[in-house]
Amino acid sequence: MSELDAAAQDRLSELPDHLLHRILRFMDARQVVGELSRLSRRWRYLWATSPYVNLQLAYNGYEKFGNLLLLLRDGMVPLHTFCLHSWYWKHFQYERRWLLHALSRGLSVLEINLGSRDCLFQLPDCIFSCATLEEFNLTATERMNEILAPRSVCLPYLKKLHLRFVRFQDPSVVEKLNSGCPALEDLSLSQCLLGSFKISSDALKILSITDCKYDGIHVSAPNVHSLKLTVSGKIQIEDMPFLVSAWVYLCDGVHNLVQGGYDLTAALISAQHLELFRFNLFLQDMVEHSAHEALSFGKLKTLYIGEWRVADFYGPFAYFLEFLQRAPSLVALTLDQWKLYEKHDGKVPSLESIGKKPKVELKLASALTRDLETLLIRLSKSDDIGEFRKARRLLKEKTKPKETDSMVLDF
Amino acid sequence: MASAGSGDEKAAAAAMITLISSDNEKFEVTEATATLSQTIRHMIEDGCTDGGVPLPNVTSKILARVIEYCKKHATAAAGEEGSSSSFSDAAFLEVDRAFLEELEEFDDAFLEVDRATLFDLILAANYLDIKGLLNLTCQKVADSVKGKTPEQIREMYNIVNDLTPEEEAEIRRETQWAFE
Repeated sequence: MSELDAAAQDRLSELPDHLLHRILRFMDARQVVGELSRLSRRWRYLWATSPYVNLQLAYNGYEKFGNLLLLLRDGMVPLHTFCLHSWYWKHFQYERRWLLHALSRGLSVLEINLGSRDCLFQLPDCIFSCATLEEFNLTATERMNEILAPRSVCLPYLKKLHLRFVRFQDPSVVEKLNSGCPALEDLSLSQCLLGSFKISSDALKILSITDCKYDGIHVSAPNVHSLKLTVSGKIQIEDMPFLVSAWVYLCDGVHNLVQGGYDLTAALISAQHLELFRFNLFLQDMVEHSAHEALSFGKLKTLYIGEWRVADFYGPFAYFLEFLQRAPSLVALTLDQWKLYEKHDGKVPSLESIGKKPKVELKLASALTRDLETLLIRLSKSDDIGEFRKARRLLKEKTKPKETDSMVLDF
Repeated sequence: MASAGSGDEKAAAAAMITLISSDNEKFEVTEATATLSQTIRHMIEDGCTDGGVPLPNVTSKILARVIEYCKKHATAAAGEEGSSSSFSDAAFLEVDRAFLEELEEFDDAFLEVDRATLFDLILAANYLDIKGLLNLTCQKVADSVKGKTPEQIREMYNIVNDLTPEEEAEIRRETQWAFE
């Protein structure tokens, strides 16, 4: 085919139906029905045979449109995915009917965005007892809506549950969800208001609890391979022998892991990839807590330490060498200050403020006389930078990573 | 590398997979990168990847782009086991999963391609069953069409309007409810 022909070719319409449907699922149903059906014969009935329905915009006649769409679409095609963006609580009366309809059509994936403000939502109970549902994403976009907790949960095939900005009236709802979703593999709770709860599951593989307010969490999920946590309150994580990667962010209120009731260090020992923020607290934990003294990170290959402070090296980072000895497989180490100052409103203790003489040799240099493949250091502009430059010279002399592998980015 | 060689032999053996494009170009990738494709994952599980994996539907040009995507996302994907060798030549950003924003930047830059390449990527992502890439590319097409009139869309994608005036009037009647 000549290039001219290729340029004039209609590659879009040539795609098979299922791929066109995949494209259309990202568009609001009204444009798909009203506009795209007029493109050509190929496009005329694509809306009707799509297994995805996406109602994301509100407009006059929205109720009638939704009703007719669900009535007129090809009933022989099972409804696989239903996305609903609810903008006004008054609309929820009929949106609730759409949900009931969708859930009785073999629905696999349900996505709900609650956009209206300040009201108490009651999601239909049948969402929480749907025998076909495999994936459920619930997001509250505006302020946190309060949602009436389901009376009971029975979702035997649910594999993925993502909740964002969600506040259930009954803070123990997570336990209900946990016990009612025996097949759940991927649980993500983000910016939710939660009470005190225990997650106990053998099926769970991916667990993410980030930026939530909670009273206490106890996790017993031995098959988790990916863990992401923002720690702001008490937390207890039991062993995760199959853990591959973990990301743990300790919030500013956390000062001492053991004393504060943050029991998670031991759960991380199987990880191959760790991304830890405020690593000094983990080191302190390993040194001070007798049960953690013998912890060994035998599989650890890459370690990312975020938001570290130069001052840390005068405290628990002195034990860094010891830590490295417990991590014999480590090949890549990253020390990163990215966003350190933004996240902490510039309130980062400088060396002067903790009364250390800047001439003291940083412990880091001696700690890194190890054979690493990659050592990456990124510094934030600060008073400490001059101090760290000195240390960097030491690093160059003492450490084995090739010069090209070790880099300092100033920003 | 002395430290990783001590003891753990399993960790040291990083499985490599050879992918062969339609024009017979060979690409060596780590298993972690390759298994972002469910199609290849199943082949590996069935043990039929010895001698390379022929991909007769994907040209070398497109395969190179697909591998670029997979490499980037393999380290980011939850639970994907990145082998040590994939880190030895990794760029700074690849090590770090915390930078989701930078991953998005990568995706945005990745999608800066001409239309023909975009469709080739959709077909390759579909054939190789790479869900993330398929969604990314389909979303790109959807975004380009959003809010456009039928005439604008026809012009953008060379869609020939083969509807007779009668059919057009019929469709208008059929879908009148979408405008009320």
